[in-house]
Amino acid sequence: MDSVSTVVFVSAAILVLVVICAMYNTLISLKNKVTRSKSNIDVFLKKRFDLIPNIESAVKGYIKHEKETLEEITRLRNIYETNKDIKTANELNEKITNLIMIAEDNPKLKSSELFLNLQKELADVEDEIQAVRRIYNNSVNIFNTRINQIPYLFLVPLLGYREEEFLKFDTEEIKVTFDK
Amino acid sequence: MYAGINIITLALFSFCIILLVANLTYSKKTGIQMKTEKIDLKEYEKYYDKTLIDEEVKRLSKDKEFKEKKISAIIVLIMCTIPWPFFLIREFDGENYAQIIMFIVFYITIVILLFLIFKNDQKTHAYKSVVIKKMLEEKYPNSLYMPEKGISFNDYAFKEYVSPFNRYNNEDYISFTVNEKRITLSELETARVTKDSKGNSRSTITFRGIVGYYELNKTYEINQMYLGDNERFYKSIKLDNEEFNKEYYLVCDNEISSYKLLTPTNMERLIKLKDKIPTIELLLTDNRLYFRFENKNILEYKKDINSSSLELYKLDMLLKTISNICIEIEKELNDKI
Repeated sequence: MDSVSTVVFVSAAILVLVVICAMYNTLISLKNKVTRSKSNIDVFLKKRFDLIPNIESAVKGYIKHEKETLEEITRLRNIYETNKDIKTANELNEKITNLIMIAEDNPKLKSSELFLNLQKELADVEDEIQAVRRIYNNSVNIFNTRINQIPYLFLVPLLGYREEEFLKFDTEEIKVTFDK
Repeated sequence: MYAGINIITLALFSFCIILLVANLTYSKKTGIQMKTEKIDLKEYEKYYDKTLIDEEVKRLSKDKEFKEKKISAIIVLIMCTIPWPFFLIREFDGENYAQIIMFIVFYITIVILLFLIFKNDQKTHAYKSVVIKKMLEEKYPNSLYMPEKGISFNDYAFKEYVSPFNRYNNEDYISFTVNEKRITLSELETARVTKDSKGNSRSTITFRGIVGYYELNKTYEINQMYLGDNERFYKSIKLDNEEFNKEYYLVCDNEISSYKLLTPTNMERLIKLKDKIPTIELLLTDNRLYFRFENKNILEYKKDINSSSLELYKLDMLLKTISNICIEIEKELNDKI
């Protein structure tokens, strides 16, 4: 091999290496973004579930007949603390929503300032959860698209990456009214 | 020598004509997209009063400020042309009068141009203080209109996000109240003046349009959020709506808050806003909602009642659209953040 061929070969090898490094970095940062988004959901779910003791103490005196619901919420919360399972989180969310709906039927509770503040706080956290879920799904969408694209497709088996699953949640009804 | 003087005279003359033509023919497809067919302009006709405008023009011609402007222009004109007659007399051969005629024509043209500029300036001032002020006072109580002033440089929050500029000209300051909160806006022109290696100045207009802000009077968890089309300096946030990402370049210090505010409904609303104002840019910072968009100059003298009514209608629509946008966005902010 003459010197010119060596230079061409080495340059091509360096170029390929640089491209692989760039692709690797892109995939790593996309994967990290997915992981980060997922942990953000956990953070905000925890923030929501941390409000449970306050909700319980606020409603306890008013809805004594819902003792079972309160116990079920505590049980599910303890399970979620250990396994961080999304299914448990959804179940827990459902129970909390039910409890709030029952509590809203009680006129005394509905006018309680403590309960109203808790409701507002819950609504805020709900918005935040919705936002981080959308961030997660967007990151998953970008990641899944990228790992199925050429040339990333060839690098993915080496890294052991697989398509991530989207989170399903109720989308808000889109009503656009700008003209008045 | 004569040839040199002729060339300079011709060059100056051509330059003045080009400037005049460029000024008269300038127009740009920007601003708020509105249908101007089948609109009832009757309610705007009452604001146009030719007699009052003429009286104001007369008053302004005696105004100290205008007199000072006129005197300064005449002094500059005389100073610039003093050496020319000496050259002409020194080089005059007693037969060729062409150069002298050319100089006189050039001088008269300059004087006429100056006169027209001053007259137009007076008419514009009179039109603004009589017609526009009257409409604003009637349709927007508590409004404040100052034709000579504009949004101050310190209040121009977009400066960190847009192309660099070193010339800042503003006028037509309008401030009015909506929902007990003030909206302030003005016309603005920014330009970048550069010098080449030979020392020649070159001016490039970087923005010409409307800029303003809406006082939110409330602190939000977002310190800065920019929505526009300027892709300088910052890393943008991509949201989960491809069309929105194409229309807007989003810069925000808090990704979660930006997702919270820009819900699917709001993104659709902002996409629709782009249809109405294609060049709109929004900035949320310092408890204010800033906006800016390219727009041709609409607050200029109109010589007849029809064109005046149409321009007043456009101004009214512009203010109403801005109010609606501000109210809608504030509502979303209060609901979501």
